[in-house]
Amino acid sequence: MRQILAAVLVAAGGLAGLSGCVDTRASSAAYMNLEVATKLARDRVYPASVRVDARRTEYVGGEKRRVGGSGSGVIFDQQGHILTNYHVAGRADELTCILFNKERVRARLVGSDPWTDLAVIQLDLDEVKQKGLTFQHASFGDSDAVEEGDSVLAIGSPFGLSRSISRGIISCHDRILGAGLDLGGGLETGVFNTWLQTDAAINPGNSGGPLVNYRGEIIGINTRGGGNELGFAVPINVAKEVIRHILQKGKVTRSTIGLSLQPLQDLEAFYDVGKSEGAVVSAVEPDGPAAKAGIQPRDLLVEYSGVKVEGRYPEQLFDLRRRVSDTPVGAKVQVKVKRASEVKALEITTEELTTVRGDEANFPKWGVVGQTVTERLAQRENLGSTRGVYVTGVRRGEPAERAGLEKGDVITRVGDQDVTTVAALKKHYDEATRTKQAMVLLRVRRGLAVLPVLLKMEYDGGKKPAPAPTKPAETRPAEPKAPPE
Amino acid sequence: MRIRLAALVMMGLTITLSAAPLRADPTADQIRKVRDALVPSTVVVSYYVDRDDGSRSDARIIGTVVGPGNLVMFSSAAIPSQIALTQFHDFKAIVTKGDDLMTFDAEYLGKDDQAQVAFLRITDPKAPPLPVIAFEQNAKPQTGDPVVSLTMLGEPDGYDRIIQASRVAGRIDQPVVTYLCAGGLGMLGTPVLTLEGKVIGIVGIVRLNRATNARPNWSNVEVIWPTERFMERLKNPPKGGGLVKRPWMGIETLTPVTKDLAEYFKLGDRRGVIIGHVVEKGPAEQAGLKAEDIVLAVNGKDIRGTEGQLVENFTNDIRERKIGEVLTLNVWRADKIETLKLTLAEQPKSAAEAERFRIASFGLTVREMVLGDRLTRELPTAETGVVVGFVDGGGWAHDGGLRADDIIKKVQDKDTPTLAEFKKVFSEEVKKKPKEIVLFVLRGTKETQLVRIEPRWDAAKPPEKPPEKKPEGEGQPKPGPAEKPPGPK
Repeated sequence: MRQILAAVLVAAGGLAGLSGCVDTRASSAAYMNLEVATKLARDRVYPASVRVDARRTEYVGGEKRRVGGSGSGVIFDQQGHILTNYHVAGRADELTCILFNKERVRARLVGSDPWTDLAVIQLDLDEVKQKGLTFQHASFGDSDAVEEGDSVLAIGSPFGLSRSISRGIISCHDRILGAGLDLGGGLETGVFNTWLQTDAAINPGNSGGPLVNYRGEIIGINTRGGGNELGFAVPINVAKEVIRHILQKGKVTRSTIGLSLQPLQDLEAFYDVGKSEGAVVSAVEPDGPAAKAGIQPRDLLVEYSGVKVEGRYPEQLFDLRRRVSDTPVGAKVQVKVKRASEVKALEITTEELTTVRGDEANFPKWGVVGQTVTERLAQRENLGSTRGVYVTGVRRGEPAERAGLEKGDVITRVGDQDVTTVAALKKHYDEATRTKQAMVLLRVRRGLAVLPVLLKMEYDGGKKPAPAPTKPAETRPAEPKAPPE
Repeated sequence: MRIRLAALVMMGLTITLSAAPLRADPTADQIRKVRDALVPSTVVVSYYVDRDDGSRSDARIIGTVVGPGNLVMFSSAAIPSQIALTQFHDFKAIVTKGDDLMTFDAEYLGKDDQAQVAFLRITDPKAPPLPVIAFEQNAKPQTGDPVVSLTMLGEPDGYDRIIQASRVAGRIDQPVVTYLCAGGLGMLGTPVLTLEGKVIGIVGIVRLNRATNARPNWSNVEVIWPTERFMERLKNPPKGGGLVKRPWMGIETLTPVTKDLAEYFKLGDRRGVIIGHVVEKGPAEQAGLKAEDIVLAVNGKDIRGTEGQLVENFTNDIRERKIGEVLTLNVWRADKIETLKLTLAEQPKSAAEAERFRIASFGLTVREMVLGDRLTRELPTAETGVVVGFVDGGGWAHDGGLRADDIIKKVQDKDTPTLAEFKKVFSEEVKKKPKEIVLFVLRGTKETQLVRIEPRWDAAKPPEKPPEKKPEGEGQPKPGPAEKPPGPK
């Protein structure tokens, strides 16, 4: 019934517009069009939108802390899967969703992809059943069909204000926000996707919520707000692919070939090529797939996997990066590069793309938090190899800090035993703690130097339980103790 | 009547009293005598610095006549190490004669950072021979002894020399013996005298670790720098305007052996320094030293000192030796003590000594790469190229995206591993007046990229910036007080 009414109103408004006369009836009809359309779209997505409250354990300055935050999300299937941002839920160990009907349901993390800042969580269906709840899900549109000027709605919980809607237009269809935006913790995002830019209000708390077109279809996930009516959403077509991978394996596997590109713009004369033939290889990672295949910096990459490379503008480099990352890991890819006046055919074997984050562990008695070194971390920090444990936090006043250990050091030995991973270091730590070793010598790599870090340990007599790791060392002068409870 | 008489008598008394000195004070007399003897042997050393950005700044510092032929000594801090040596120009000596200032041309002879002294010689034949100051060695002043040093006023006051009187406050023993003063010392490099007129040293600087807990806390402290520290240099001043080179071991990142480490490694009472990194092909590597080695003794003498000073004491000891000297080192490695022989080499060229090449039209200054560049940026020893020293804002190079510290490895398609080759290749390219010049640069440690410069040959040449005269203070290590203090000169 409602739809027919809307259609009639639209027709009336349209006719009035054609007649060209200033008619309050026509303008009010046009206004009502807009309002009705907005509400239709709202009704299709509102019941599927949720607020996501996330809590995680973080090590800040070596201290273990519980950190919380909230954002938005949208349920996209009957199994209660919710699409949201990585930076909302990706590292959470405790998730609670507030449904449209204001009911609270726990959720679990299914998987995430920091590179596109997306995560999939799932409602606890047992709890849903037990509480007799129902939920709806929304449908995805086609972000490739979106145009600048299209009207859109952003639905979410800005500043925790659940179920808020804001309205705007698509300001730009394929915005590039620089290659490698910081996502915190050394992670990068925005490398393999462009963004939908909108002037619909996107504020802290909107993250993870849907960007909706007037047909009530989700066309993007609101991710970044720049203030000043600049909001950015990850296009839904990107999310569809990411969801597919996450539901299968919990993460997205991508390939890397270990080279950096720069746009060809203005360098065509230098390379003696047409306007858009190829992209410039600006740097090649030593020992990476491209290096092994014989690619050199300054080569012009003209063909990748049988398809011509067009790299005149930074925007075009995105397409190429995506093609590379979508290539299966371990695949042999034929490429062509132009060097001097020769075109060389080379074969690259892709490797898996890693992030800078690796398995992290806390060593409370030492006052150290460290992680395994990933390939990407090794490249970023120029560590030379992935062997060792990268120190991410050193707690003040504890043995490691007093011994001079610093964030960014790589622990390579304990005593005279080499240490290559966090798991290995954990074994040594457990052993040293169990045997109450008074002095533990670590060797760390710091830049070019190898330094000794001697931990002088103090263990309790054994009668009192060990203090909780979050409590700082007590330095109060002796005072009459209260009787034990 | 009686009241008026009393008033007259009072007036008379006050008038007579004000004519005599306030108090009979032998110290004040001595200070005046010392000043009168010292000041004629001082001159004002003046020069200007050509900075990388094309601007110019003048500097003035007190210098002392220390040898015949108007050999003048001043603080090496006046020639800061960050600025290329070729950028210091127009050395002169300003001599005070009564109320007149006379400026004479001088030749800069060079500096010795370790001894904290620099030298010039007044070359102008019109300059009168100035009285020479004699330095005494091994004075060993005691805490409480009064000492005198100098500072000066600015140009409007004719660079009047001002006495700075203070007392010895204490002795610092590490890395070498120097003395602290209460009440402050004068300008860096000026002589320090006792009230008897003995010149016991100059005003110098030491880097002290003033930690009160485990964390180091380094600061620069002004001290009396005893004559023994620079006597050899005084007897043998440098020539040719260069840097006196000191010995070098090729070891980076030393850490001290703490009491706990000594216990862990079972070294007993022995202390030493732990090697962090051995520079490729340097003296230490050639001697067979490796990272993690502990150096315990040099030529049979144990490395000693408080934990906070061990490293400084050791490195200072090495710098006081001679290039080419062969040292016998006792080194602990994996529970064994080895004896290794190390031949000290000359310290490698610093960035300040690196040759520079400026291309004004491009707004670009490049310099040769030195070992320090490779170490700081963790580049392999084999890395070649020229370092971009400065890029003028708004110049062609800057607009093309070139930045300071970029290493240029290729110009168009030609390699430019050295400054000489860069000069050749770049000049040849510029002659052709190309539409673009494409450089291949290394930025950071591994990020290479192409930088395209589009020269605007037809546009009016950017006007040669007239050298900006920056106000006094730039390059002057210790500016004098701004106003004349009240009281007699």
